[in-house]
Amino acid sequence: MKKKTTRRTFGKQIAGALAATTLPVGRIISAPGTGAEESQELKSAWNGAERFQAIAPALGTVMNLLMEEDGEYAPVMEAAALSAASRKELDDAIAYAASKSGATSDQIVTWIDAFTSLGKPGLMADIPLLAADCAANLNGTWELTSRFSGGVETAARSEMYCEMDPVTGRGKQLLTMLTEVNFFVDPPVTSFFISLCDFQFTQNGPFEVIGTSAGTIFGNLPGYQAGLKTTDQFRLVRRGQNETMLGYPIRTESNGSDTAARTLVEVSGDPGTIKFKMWGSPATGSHPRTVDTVDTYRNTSNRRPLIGGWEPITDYFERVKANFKEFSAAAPSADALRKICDDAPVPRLSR
Amino acid sequence: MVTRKKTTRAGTGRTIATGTAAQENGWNGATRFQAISGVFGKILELQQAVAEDYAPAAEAFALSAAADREIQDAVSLAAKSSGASEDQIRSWVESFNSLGKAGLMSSIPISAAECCANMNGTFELLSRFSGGVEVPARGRIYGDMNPDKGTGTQLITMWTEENLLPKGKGDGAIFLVMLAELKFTQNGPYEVIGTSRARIFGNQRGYEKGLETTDEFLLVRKGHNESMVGVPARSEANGTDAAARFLVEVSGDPGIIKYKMWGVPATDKTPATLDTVDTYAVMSHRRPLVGGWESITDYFDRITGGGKGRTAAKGGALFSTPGNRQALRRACEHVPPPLTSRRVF
Repeated sequence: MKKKTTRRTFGKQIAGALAATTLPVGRIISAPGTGAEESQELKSAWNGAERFQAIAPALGTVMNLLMEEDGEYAPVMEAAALSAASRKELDDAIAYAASKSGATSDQIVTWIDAFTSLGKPGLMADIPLLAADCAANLNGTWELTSRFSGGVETAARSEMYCEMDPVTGRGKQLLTMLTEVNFFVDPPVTSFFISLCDFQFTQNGPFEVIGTSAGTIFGNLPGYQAGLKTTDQFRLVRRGQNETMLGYPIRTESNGSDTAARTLVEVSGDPGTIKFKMWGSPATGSHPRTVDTVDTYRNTSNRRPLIGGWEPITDYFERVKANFKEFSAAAPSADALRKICDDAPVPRLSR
Repeated sequence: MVTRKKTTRAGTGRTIATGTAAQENGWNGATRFQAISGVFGKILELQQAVAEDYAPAAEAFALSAAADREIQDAVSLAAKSSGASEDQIRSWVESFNSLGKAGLMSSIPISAAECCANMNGTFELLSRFSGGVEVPARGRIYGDMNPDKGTGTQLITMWTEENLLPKGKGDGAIFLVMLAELKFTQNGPYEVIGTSRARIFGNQRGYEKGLETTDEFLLVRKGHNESMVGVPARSEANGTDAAARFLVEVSGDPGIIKYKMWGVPATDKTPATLDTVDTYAVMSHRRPLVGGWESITDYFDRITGGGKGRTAAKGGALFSTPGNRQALRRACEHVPPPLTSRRVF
């Protein structure tokens, strides 16, 4: 059965329904200047504590209404739409907070979105962000350092290979994942995934970049064997040295898989690291609850990626895809996976 | 006149939480969010007074009896309707407040020894952003730690064009140097309490003769590394503006430590202060030596005039000839390495 699921950010719900291809044009302003003087002009007139004061009157209402949305196992587009009464309650709370603080309603919405995603650090001053930098920051090879499932470290190995063109903001990403635990702790199943995605980063004013990805995931779990096509749209902002995702990605997927049974709540990373934090979903009458998952990747090379040191990522993906049944049959067992996750300590005088 | 002021942020005076291991089972991020969503907004609305003080004193954090009762009632209701304990509800609210949705991820075991070991070595400031704009700044953190005992000594140096307020006219830069004794104490499987007793010298008002501070903070783990939850309980003296900024995040992925500080609102007498983000990267995990050969305590004593014997210099020697902004900006220039550099690629 074909299923389409969508998660929209809080801010975008407030602003009205947005198609996956539509950018929030109301916020588009000219690209940032690079000179010091222009940069100083971008210095914010608000600080974190003032933003917090501004949103506080609306938080109670917003949190109550957001719970309705997050209660869904695999929320479909309609479920994420608030009722007219809830929408009015939300808009009233935001309008009240705006009038009380002197901020605009758009600012209140953005700040609540940022606070919900990132906590208090989300209310720090915006820092200019470039689509070209976001693209360049992904380039290279990344190794999974750890995966935690439900708070416990899980046997897992994975790599991300990104071949990016910062000038056009485009690139390709190959992801491989071999893991003992994915959505459910019990029973553990050695599952593997391989995906190839096309990425695009688009500037949306000086403080925001919109990322989109479209790709196919193959795996040995139901829904993935024949390839699961997905598209994602996400928003990047910057509250420190590096960019971070804000809100939920807008995602579509098909084939009746469980990909929506987990919510991506954080994509961020300090220099040299990218991490993905995913909430499990609550149980429903027909589905068990899923586990929280945190994946942390470390940059091992900034050069253009080659699999095994010599094969382009698209060639590798095509080769695996063409023989996927054979590849699946030769997948490592749970014991083999645990062995390759052993930590081999390096001597102090290591390389 | 120097006024002595003591400020305290409550929040980490907690008891051992060994029972929480079992309590973690059966929840995930979405169900924790469901559990707190009814109470979270109310608590924050009542606590927003915390953010209204310029240099908040202990009393400012004490809510009225009525507000306390209102929060307690809301927490009880949330606990009853969700099946969580009241302690869990309070802990999740605090965590969400600090870290957003990622704060409601499953707790991961954390050890005081590892928190301590993670601070060992030399860290270089990569960037400082003030009010959203990068400013010229150089700084280092040197941590000489003993993971077996959970204790250690930390030296921090900071040379910056901007600190709490937008830079004024003139060519002067700001210097700060701090030596702290750190201690990490296990508090159940999922929490570590950190304490720090420090002395800070600088060329800013209140720091010239050394500002003594104590801090207590709570560390948890929601991913690969530990991060702070809540605000540190801090005391400081000498009537400085040290409290005119809130530490809202201390965290970092492998090899990184970052500090995010909110500015505070303006009052009738004082201007609003800037949001500040400092990001440090580890340069070496070996025991730190300043300049490659001098112990951090000797160095601190020498430049602040606090030492004894031959290594002691005249007090304030560093601050009598501080580098100016021009020198600082040159020190902050980026010199791109060639592709064939000696750096790891």
